[in-house]
Amino acid sequence: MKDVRRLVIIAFLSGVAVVIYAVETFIPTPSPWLRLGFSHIITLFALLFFGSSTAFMIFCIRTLVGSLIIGKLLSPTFILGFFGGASALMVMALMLDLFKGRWFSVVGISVAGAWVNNVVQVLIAFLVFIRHSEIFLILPAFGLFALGTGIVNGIAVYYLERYAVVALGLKRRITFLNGPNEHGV
Amino acid sequence: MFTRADKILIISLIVISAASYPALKYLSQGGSFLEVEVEGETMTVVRMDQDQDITVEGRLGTTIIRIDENGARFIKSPCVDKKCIKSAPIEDAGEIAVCVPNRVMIRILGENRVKTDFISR
Repeated sequence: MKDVRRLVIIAFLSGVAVVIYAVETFIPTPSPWLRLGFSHIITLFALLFFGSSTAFMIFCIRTLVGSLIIGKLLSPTFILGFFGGASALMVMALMLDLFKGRWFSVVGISVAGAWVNNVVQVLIAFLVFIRHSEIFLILPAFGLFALGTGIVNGIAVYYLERYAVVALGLKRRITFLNGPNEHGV
Repeated sequence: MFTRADKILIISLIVISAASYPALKYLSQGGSFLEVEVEGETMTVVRMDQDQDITVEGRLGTTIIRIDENGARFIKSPCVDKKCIKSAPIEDAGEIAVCVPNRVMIRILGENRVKTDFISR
């Protein structure tokens, strides 16, 4: 039964993440390579409630199916997004394990993940696609953009988490000392 | 919703972003050099980021090469048709310009840059 439950959760959250990923493509951003990264809300949410392996599973399915739908499978966007997202996931999982809800709230963890995501993307773009050091000049701008999306995503996860505990009765793996308490308030 | 650690993280990331821009700007330039060859021999290698005129003696006479904000180009040559003077200035790594009659070649050194016309996603 445990496996079926996990399967259903992965399938459901992957579906939600794919839809967010595809719809987000229609929202214009200052640069064609910048994405708002709203589907990372689902990744962080899964990380909080179901652990890193489930979150990674959902992330992989979302990236594969999502970029298939928007027609960017195996394009630079896909490759950058995959490695950026995977490293962001790693950093967020590490922060959760390391701090166990102390010091940083979900917003802080989301910001760190978004920032690492964008910095890793620039690094990989340099290593694989554009071998010219001038590309690093966009790092500060990408970093600041990540800060904005990270804060927005973090706030979304904060409320989603509260909702999941109160309305769906899900159990937190990690309780944030400064976040909502056991009763979700 | 924002803990103190969150605020410290966000402010330090803003500071890092703002502070790293001048440093990155400084590091990313200074990479390109101009090599001047006469009859296949390297006469001189100069930096591209300072404006200057370079005078070299070729087979026919004196050639002057100017480096300015547009790149490097021939401005004076003893050759007959002056094709070298009419050609566009060069500035990206790997680009070359030559004056064949006077046997002068200039080349930008550095990592090869892929020139991009357009980026789509």
